[in-house]
Amino acid sequence: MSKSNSWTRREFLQRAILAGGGIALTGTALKEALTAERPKAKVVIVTCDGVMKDERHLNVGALRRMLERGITELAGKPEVKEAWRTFIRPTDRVALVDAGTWLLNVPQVVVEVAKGIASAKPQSFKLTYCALDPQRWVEAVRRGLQQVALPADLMDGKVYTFPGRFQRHPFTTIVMTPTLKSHTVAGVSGVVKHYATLSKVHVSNYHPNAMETAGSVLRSEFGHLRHLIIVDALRFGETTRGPQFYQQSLLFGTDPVAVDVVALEVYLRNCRTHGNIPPDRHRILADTRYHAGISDRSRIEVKELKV
Amino acid sequence: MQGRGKLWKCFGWWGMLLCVCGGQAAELPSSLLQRSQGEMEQVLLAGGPATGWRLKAQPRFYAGDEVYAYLDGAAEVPKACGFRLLGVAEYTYLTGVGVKVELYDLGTSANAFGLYSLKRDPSHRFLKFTHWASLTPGELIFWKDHYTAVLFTEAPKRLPEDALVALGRTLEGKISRPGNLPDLLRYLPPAGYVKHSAKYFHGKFALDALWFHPRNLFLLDQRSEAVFAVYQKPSSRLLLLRYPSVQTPVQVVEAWRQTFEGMRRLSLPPPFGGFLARQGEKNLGICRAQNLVGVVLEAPRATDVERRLRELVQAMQKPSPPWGRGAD
Repeated sequence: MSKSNSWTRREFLQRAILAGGGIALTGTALKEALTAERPKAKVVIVTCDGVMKDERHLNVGALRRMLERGITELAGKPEVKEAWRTFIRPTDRVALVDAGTWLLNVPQVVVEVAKGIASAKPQSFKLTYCALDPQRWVEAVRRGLQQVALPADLMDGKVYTFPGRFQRHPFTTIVMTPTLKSHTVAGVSGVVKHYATLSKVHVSNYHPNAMETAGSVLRSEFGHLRHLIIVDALRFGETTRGPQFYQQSLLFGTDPVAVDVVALEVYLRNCRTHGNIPPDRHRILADTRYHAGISDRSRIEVKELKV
Repeated sequence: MQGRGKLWKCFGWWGMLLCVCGGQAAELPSSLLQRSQGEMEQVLLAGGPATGWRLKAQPRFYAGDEVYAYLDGAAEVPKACGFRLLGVAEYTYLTGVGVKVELYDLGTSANAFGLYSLKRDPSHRFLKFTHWASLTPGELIFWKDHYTAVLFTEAPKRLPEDALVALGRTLEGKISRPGNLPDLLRYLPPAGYVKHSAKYFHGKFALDALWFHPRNLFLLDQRSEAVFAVYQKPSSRLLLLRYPSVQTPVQVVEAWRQTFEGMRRLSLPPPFGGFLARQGEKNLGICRAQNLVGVVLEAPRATDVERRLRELVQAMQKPSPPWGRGAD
């Protein structure tokens, strides 16, 4: 079949405009029509006022409800277990990656996500925590796993090292719970920057020019994997100063770039980038230069929910 | 052919980047490293006698690129200030609140001021230690001799400010020599300078947070010195650069001319050469003489840029005496 006989609707619209074929589409309508044809990403934001107002008070029940609401909404399934199975298949070998140092995850976020993954019964599952995480945090997660009847040997501190050792394991799926903080090199750290941190070469290779090459890792080292990103935005940080703003949200998505773009948007509602560094630059380049996901906001469907 | 051109262009930039960023870490001979570690240990362990404080964890040390294991991306900032060694100790106050003490050996007192200057902001509170120290909720930063210290807690509300300051003063007392501010500060024009705004550094990483451009337009590396400062009435931001070679300023001005639009030559007294330019809505200006480059990165109007540039030229011709201890 010749190509002219197999135009997509997008190609047809483009050619119709180029030929001036009499279809009266305004600029906006054309943009919408073209956008409608291109792949889209979905991001779910779940916020719960009161889930956490400081480091000592977490409402675990509310956190669990946020996670259930987010995962079911993202999957488009009413049942929580069914929703987890949408992203985690019985043949999957899953690495759950924590947020690493300086703005550590709220331990219960990692525990609850681990519980969700385990409920889908993947072939194998490791909780790959950062080799630099403080021991007291590691112990808190270990205790949490025991409380939800998960074995402590899920935890493996020898994969998320510097440089990372993810390539040495036959993972099929990455589930990640990154946090966001202002960052002296990236402007605002987040999902794309976090993948660069997991690289098999040292992350410092990706530091120059506001981490403009961070997105290359997502494509070259993790492009063959499936992704489920759950951004731990219960609080945001400021460089190495720990939690600074209690956003009380979780963000869900399967496109790492799209989730990161939306997470940055949420971050910038109340917090600032580091100095003059453009925090969107490495996120946009992850899309436009490395084709590792969608950064075009018009192609990201955002569902914002409150529980 | 076009693709090949692109490839060359790409290689050219990466090549330049590697040249600029490569070999930044000043490797310290092991004997010097041991001596430095010994001195730093004495400082880090000195907090015990401060009222209400107890050492929680013995100091850990990170040399050269090991600092990435502790700081990740934040390591680029001390590395832009001649980083040699980092020692980290943990203290606990009697209320149970923990404080981390980071002590950086930067090799020279100019670099120690540099790291301090990159972490402070004119909006902070300033306390008189040997030099000025910067205080924000939960964080105290000071410098002395070739050391910069950062004391911080993640629970500022549960730590009395006085207690943090007392710990800082005790540690500082263990460092004997005061050290001097960077010589390059003398070349800043005095009129309109916003106190505590000067920042001293070497590489592009530090400049990125102050004025971001994807290219290393100023050819910054570990051998070049930079001072960034904020001015008021009219508000503007200045950058002063000193290079080991007189050729580099020529290349910098040329790169500048090729990058920005609306380039207009400015008549300046010899041996100075200068240009005004535009970056979108922003007005910019650059001047050079011998191994110095002065830049006005932002000012409301072109006339303001010109005025600031002429003030810069004057200060570059007749620098002030060295800045004393209380100056900044």
